[in-house]
Amino acid sequence: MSTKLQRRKFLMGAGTLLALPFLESTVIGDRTARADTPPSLRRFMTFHFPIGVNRAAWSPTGSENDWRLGRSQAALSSHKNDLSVITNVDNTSDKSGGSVHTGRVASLLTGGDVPIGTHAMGTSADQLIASSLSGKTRFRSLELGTAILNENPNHEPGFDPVLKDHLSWSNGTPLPKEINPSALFDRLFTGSSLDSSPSGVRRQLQQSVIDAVRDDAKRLQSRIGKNDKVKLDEYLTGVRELELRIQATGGACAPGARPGPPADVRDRVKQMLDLSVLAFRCDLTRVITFGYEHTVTEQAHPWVGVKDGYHIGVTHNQPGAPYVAVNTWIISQLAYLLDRLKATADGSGTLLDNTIVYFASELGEGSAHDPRNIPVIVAGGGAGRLRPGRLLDRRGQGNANLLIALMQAMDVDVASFGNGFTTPLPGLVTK
Amino acid sequence: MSDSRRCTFRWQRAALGLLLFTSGACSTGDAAAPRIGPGAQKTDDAPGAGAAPGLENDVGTVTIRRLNGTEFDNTARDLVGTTKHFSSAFPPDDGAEGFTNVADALTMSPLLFEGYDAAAEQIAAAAVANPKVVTCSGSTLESEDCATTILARFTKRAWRRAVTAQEVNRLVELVHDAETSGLTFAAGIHLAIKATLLSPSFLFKIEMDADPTSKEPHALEDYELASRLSYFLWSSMPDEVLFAYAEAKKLSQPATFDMQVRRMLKDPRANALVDNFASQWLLHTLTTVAPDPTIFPAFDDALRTSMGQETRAFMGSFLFEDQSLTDVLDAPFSFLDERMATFYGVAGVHGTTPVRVALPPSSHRGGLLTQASILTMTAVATRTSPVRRGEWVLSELLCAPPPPPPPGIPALPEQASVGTMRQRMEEHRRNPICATCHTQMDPIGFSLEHYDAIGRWRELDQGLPIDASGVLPDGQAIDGAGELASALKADPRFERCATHKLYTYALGRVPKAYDATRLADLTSGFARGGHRTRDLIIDIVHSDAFRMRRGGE
Repeated sequence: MSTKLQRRKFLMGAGTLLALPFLESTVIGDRTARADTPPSLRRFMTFHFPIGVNRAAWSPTGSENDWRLGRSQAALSSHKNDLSVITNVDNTSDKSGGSVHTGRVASLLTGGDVPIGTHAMGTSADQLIASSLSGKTRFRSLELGTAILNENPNHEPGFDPVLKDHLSWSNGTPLPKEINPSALFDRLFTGSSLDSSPSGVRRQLQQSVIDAVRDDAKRLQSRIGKNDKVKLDEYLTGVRELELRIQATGGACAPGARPGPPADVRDRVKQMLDLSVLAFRCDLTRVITFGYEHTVTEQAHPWVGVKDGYHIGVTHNQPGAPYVAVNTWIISQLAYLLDRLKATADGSGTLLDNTIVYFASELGEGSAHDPRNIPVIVAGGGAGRLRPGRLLDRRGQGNANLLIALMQAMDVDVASFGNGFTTPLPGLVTK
Repeated sequence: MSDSRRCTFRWQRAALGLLLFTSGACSTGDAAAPRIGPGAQKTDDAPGAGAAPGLENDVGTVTIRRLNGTEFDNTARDLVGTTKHFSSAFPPDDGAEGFTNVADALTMSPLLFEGYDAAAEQIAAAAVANPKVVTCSGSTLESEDCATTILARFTKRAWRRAVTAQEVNRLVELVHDAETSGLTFAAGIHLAIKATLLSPSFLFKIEMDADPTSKEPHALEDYELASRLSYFLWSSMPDEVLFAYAEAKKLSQPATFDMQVRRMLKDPRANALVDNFASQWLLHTLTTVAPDPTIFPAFDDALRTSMGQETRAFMGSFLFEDQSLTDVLDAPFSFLDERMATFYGVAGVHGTTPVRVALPPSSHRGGLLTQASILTMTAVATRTSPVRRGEWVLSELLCAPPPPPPPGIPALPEQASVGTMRQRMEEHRRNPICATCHTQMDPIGFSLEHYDAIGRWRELDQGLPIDASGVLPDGQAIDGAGELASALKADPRFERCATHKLYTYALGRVPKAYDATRLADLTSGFARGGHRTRDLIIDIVHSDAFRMRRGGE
């Protein structure tokens, strides 16, 4: 009898077993606050594209306030005052040498140095931002893409294949990307069995399952080695994120139609960008990392007359007109994203006013594997923290310095980032 | 200059404990550099090829290993009888050294855990509908006996180890909680089973050390050994026989162990070695390769499937029959279904099941490198790629990958696409920086130029006759696929590479410097016994590295 009473108590008390900060963030989170005065919610979106650009066609000309877009940037002309192009920023934080693709991808958002014999990359800028917002939305962040690199072993010998296709890292753990638009839609709006508007009892029972498995993990923790504990920590992060999702209430937001299977990669990009805008609009997340293809993609682009695979067939073998044609098309996809963000009302303005879009590639002139002077565009108003419409030549600055500035714009201050970077790229972000 | 810098760097990394495959790329300027690993060492270097003194007895340690997608699906199948492919909804597994069962590369993410949650819900539903799982009925509000019986048995199988009364009680509590809240007993069991399936004890293969900080080797516990065997040979959980021997602590007895290994290899579940080990080794990118449909309208997904079936059935005959593995390079037979037979111009094959066929000379086939699967995977969308084919042979069959092009090579001047592929490549090779690696890759690729980007035989390229001759880096002249196969068959790197691949897959970890002696011994045993894969499998599972472990990392 007494054990049964204890058990009942345990069940009823399950909700209160949660740590206090978590309760604060879900119960007193901004969802309730928003009912009164809508604050400007700031979002951060990365749009990565692979293997750099034909630099001659990319390069804008002029001075900070009097400038012209580069030839391959023509699709952005209607957004010239919504963005700044930043030139001469280097993606050279990786000092490992010997890797022309892997290190550049893995360090793009981490500012890190590719580790030897392991894949631990620390924590990327998007994830540092996501951590600071944890609990405010159902999804801490979304990692999206159009293709997964299936290269194993890495064609760059000695380097972990994992490093070559992951932009987002959390405490050394790579975060996989979702490439299936309909699966993403389900995850956002219908979700797994645990998400289907659970009743109080059901939610408590689900919580009790979580508590049980967490107990299992904790029992194990004291009996295993150091590397094992890293794995178990990854596991516990998964448990915690699921718990957050069980406890979070669903946003009242009309999702529209579920996307069907994409006809081709153009369709896939459009669906992913549309769902990104939707996820921001519904405040399901405030941090999204989207990657078009991957650093050695052989995707063909026949709709712009390029039938050859992109990496070898175009960036290496035809770095002239075909390379420019694909660059131009990719940049037009950024224009599409900016169109959509600008067309979506948010707070007292548009979603674009409140978003920071960081558009970049891991390489500069891709045909030469040159990681210097990578193509970078920062778009959106960042809820007042950015002053777009400028051409910023920032010779000698690293991409990591740029990310420090963008993190500051998202109210994340880091003393040191990646491979020892400490200062923000100057003149981009306003106080 | 940049070459010697890279060589130095590569060697430093090797010194950090990774057993690196250094390539011959820098050998011209750096012949004296010490190297380890099958890619660089020749058999006659064997005395210098072993592990450093004092390291030979290091059995290594494997990080707790998450079940990969295939293992998860197979384990669910053997646990509750469901044949669903749950893992198709999971993010794909990352891998290392070509395999997706390497512990350190198998990370866990919130996205994956969401997938596990959804899968556990469905597996639990299948479990409560299975009378072999739910063997009694009752209510924990009256007696906990039935719930305890069900959960003790289920959890032992799901967790693949002995479970404590405390662990079972924790799950019985969940049933009780559910019933107290008004749910049925079955719903409570469903909830408890779900908890079992989301536990790290189900999702990971966990091996314990009495002292996690000690580097002293110790034998695996019997249940741990059962799981190592079953996941290596079957990509799934142990069966009742293995569990029974493990429970009786008899599996580790040499005679029992040996008998069980041989039994497992004869079981149909051992086909997992073909579907996972051989497919991951040799067919890794077949599912994603995308020949341009306007240039190659003959290629479609059905052909892709038939190509994969051919290579899998072909490799299966080498894994389980008494044939030398080196014969995969030039075997005069293959396994074709009707589509592949038509594709190769071989008459008399019908249906969609591949059957063993003697290959006529007119088919221009014989051995792995003439199979359309490999030839298609190693081409690019619009044409063949001698570089990729050469790189694939060096990386996958010889474990000697060439380094990637160094950073900062100026872009090639754009050339008009005239001449044969070979003529265009020769132009490329004039650049001396490029030539270092291309002299290794290109002759291999050129020798396969009679096969187009989807593996069809051809006499002409761009209207010009094909020249399939070349000189390998060691000076050996070859002409065509047959002579390439003979050269590879005589190359000691192939047997070392095969041993290395199988060892990596068996242990689920990337070999380290301390494995060098063990690998050299396994390789020479493999060679002495006539390169029979089954014998190599048996030798690997009998090695200390498979039967023992240590802590300390």
